[in-house]
Amino acid sequence: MVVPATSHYDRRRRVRFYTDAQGRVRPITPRKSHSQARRPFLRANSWRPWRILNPQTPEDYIGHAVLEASFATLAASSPFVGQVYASYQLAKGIYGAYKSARAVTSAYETQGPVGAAKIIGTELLSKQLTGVQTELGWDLIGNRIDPKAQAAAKSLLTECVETLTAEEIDFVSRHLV
Amino acid sequence: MSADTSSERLADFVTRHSENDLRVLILFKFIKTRVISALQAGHPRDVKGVGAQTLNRFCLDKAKRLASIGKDPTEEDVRELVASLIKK
Repeated sequence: MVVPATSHYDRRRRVRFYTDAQGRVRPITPRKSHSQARRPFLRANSWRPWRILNPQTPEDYIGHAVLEASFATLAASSPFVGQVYASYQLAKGIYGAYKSARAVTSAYETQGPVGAAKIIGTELLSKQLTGVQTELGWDLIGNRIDPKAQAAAKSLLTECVETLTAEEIDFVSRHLV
Repeated sequence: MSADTSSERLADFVTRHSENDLRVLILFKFIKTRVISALQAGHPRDVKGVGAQTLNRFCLDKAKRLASIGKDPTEEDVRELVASLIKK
């Protein structure tokens, strides 16, 4: 006949033991409840943007759903593919212009101090990028772009690249590493 | 922030990063501009509901996915990538 346990001492006496695979004698502990066993593992210092990939608050869920819906509408629109392709071409054009600026810099290096040549190279590039709205600036980049994508690339340049803020550039730069 | 500072940062960005990273930056700004326009056209309250940090991270994630094609893709390659993104 089993007598119900009434005290801590009695409960201790009722603990049973088993021998595990390594030969250790261990107490038989109660099985964890379902909710405890499946508790999610929270990675506080993970490299993944945890809160964005796994929205936690109701605001995150709503915000993410709204953004996904907007992006889906945008991606399904007809000019989207052409504009993405123009972005590729624009990046290629700006990068190509940068390379030519670097070539001028390296040519200067042979004639003057290295430090001064670097400054001139940066200034030259800054001037090119500042003056992209002018025809001269566009000519530097435009002739490197696929003629098919030139119109879209020019509008992207004035609409997006020239309105880039320092904070946005820093944000992307920080999260690319 | 003045325009000069932005262009200096952009020049600095081009100096320190690859062509693919520049592609991500341009796509990031393009998507952000368009998404904000779409939200404002839908309901202005939606723009306030989405935090700036959430918006930036979302746009960067999409830009990275869109820039994942290798060097010198054709328009057809871009079309296939966009179609695969929409399916997901």
